[in-house]
Amino acid sequence: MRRAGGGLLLAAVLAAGACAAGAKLDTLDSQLGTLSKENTEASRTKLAALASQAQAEAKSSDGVNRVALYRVAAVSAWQAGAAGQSQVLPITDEGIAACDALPAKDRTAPRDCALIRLAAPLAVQDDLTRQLATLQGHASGGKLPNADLQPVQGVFDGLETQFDKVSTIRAEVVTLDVPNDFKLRTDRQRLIVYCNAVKAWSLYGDVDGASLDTFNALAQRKKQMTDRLEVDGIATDCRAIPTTQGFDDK
Amino acid sequence: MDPTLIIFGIRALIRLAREGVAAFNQFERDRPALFPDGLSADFRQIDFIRTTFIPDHQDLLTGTGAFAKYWSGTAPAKVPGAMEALYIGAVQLFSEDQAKKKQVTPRKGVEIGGAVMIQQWASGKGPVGPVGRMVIAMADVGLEFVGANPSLLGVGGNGEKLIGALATNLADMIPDDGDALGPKSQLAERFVGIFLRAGLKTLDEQPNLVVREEHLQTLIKNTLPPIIAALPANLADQARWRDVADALLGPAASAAISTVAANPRAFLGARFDPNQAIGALTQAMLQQAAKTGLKQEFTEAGFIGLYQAALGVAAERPELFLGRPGTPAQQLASDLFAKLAATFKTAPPPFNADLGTELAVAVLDTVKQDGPRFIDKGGPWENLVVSLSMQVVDGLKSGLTDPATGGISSVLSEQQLIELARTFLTQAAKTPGMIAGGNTELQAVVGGVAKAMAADKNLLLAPDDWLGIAAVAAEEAAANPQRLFKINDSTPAGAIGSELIKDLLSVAGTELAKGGRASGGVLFGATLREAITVSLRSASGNAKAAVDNQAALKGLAETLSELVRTHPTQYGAKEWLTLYRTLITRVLQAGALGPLADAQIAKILEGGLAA
Repeated sequence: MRRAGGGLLLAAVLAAGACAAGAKLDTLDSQLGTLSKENTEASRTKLAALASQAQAEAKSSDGVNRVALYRVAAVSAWQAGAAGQSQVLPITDEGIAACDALPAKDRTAPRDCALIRLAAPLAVQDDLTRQLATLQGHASGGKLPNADLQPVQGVFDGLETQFDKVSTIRAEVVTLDVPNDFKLRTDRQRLIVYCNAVKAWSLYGDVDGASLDTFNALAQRKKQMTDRLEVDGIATDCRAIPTTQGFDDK
Repeated sequence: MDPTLIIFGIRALIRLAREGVAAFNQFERDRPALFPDGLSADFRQIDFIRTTFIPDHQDLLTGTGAFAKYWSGTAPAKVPGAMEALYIGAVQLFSEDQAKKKQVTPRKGVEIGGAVMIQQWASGKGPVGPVGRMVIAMADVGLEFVGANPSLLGVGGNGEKLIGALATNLADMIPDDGDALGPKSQLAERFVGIFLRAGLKTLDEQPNLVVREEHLQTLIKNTLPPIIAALPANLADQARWRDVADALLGPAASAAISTVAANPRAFLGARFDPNQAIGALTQAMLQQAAKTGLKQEFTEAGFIGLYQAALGVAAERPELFLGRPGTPAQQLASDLFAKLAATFKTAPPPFNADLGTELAVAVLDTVKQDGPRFIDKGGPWENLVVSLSMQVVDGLKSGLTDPATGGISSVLSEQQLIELARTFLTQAAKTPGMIAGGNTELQAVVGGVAKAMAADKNLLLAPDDWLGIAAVAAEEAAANPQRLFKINDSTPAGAIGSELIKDLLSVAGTELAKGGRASGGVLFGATLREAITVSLRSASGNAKAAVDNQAALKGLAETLSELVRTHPTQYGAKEWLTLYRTLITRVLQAGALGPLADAQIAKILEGGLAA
């Protein structure tokens, strides 16, 4: 009996320890949902803290639970905006490594792994878009100062790179058993990155002393992105993507 | 009670408890999760106009296009109503474009904005649900567990040594400052991994390269910390840096290890430690790549080519990077890459792409080989690298842009163009006076030969012939400054070397028109090449006579060509050249020759003096 009692105790301890992952996930996921709706400076600071907490929980967890916690950490860091900038890449690196370590890699937790992979390029696109909005604000009489030439082109280059990354991830996402909504959302993100790139390219034309050759060369690169979207059946109408409200504080 | 049953019962409880927990965790994991939207900047009216018209309908904005009067350069013209007219036009064009692309339709879901909640699995695609899982666990409770084999993770051979190097060096790279324990420490780990994988691959592919383990560690210690220290704080810049490092660091590591292995003496016990220069160079190369992007001035191969050439300089001449007071090696390496990038960005095509990089590689190779002859190691030698590159580019430019002939690009491939540049650079390095103190003699020589090459409309000479002629031209121009190819080429006197080549090409072209080989003509290929060589060597020491008698020199070639063509059974290419070699001296001294008598020809061909 004594043996049997010890066994029951062991089972209870194991259950309590392992149960913690699901409970933690529930708590952290709920906080992510609440904080991401608030969209204030304070909530973004809390999201950055939430990202750290989820990352720490992920490190002490394993397998698919670890991946789920990294998904919370990655999305939290992304949504924290500038406050979470330094966290995004380390978290997504660790999260991707956790996905790669799963028995069937991303197929074991398709939505979570896809979100982890998307978080870094989308966080970078958000950062670039904040820079773009700042540059748009430099316009005076329809013109930007010549000093903005390189920064505007840099934003275009960066967005083009993120478009390429999200498109590459999308090619994998469509082979996963994720809901169709997830695939449509991924396409929407590609369209958002594309449209921001179009805006950066167009803004280049407003910069004082912009080179026509460079402008036309960038137009060809923009067209390549257009073609990639259209091949996947996505209409490239940027008027369908509304401006994010108050995001320049984000 | 049977003890076996007790143990079984305990196991069953543990198993079921575990499954219960797993089922709960699965329930939490697979619940709908937040998928936020990316940020979107303001899409202005002008953005819609530009993206609709350009590039697909750009013709409507220029020349006689319907909207040309409303457009100027990259923006609407300052004409009343321009923006409105362009917008209406753009709306119409966009509708027409969409109608043509019937397969592209706005998709529901893509259009819905804001964050959404999404399930883990597509309907019917996920694993067994939490309840089903418990049922299966109860049925399975009597099965025994099978252990895994932990030795599967064992690593042996070179891999073990390199992982040892990773552990040793990683500790040095992780910053002590707790605040910096974010992305930088992550990158340290990642970069060391990339570096070591590349190192292992290099050693695996070239086992003859023996690099001692501690040597590799030194290389890593010196190469990676400055890169990690330079990591920017901004996320977008950080991501760009990481992309660049991911793309270039592996090939760079291979190049660095190969360079170290190929130059063991240079990297062991030298007065200057070239390993320090490698760190500086690697950081500078990645910094430049992150700044300009991998798709801009240089390709990945271009960056690595340039890096490898600079490593060669560091191995052979470390003092060039490490010996300038007041200028750290990193600054010098950054300046070198930045200046080359800026130079080739504005260089004329095709030097504004990888060909420019290859040219810079050729210049750096020249610095490595002959640097001490023409470089002041304490001075800004990186400026000389740029200026040498540009002298060659500017010289070749004049021969590349002839719209009638297509220029020398129709004669030489890009690789042969670089060989041509190397020919000139090698000669210039041997004759420092050609390039010292802002002298542009090199440019004049390159330009003179390039112009002459562009005149070879009939492709009478093969690329190898031209490379040989270039070597002679460079050698003679170096030995006889300001004679064959003066900087001012507006008159024949300014570029008699080019004129002589062009005259011989013209005579050869006329021969071709008269039937060429089929009619007994010999002035093409090796004969033409030799004739040009003879004329350049003869004129170099007597440029004034060559200018004064240019027409007579051309007349000599015409006379000999006519003679050989009309007497095919008596004379051939060998006779043409013998007569030319002998008589050119006389033409230079005395001007045009009269008709050649048979006896006179015979005497020259027999080896006697001409009468």
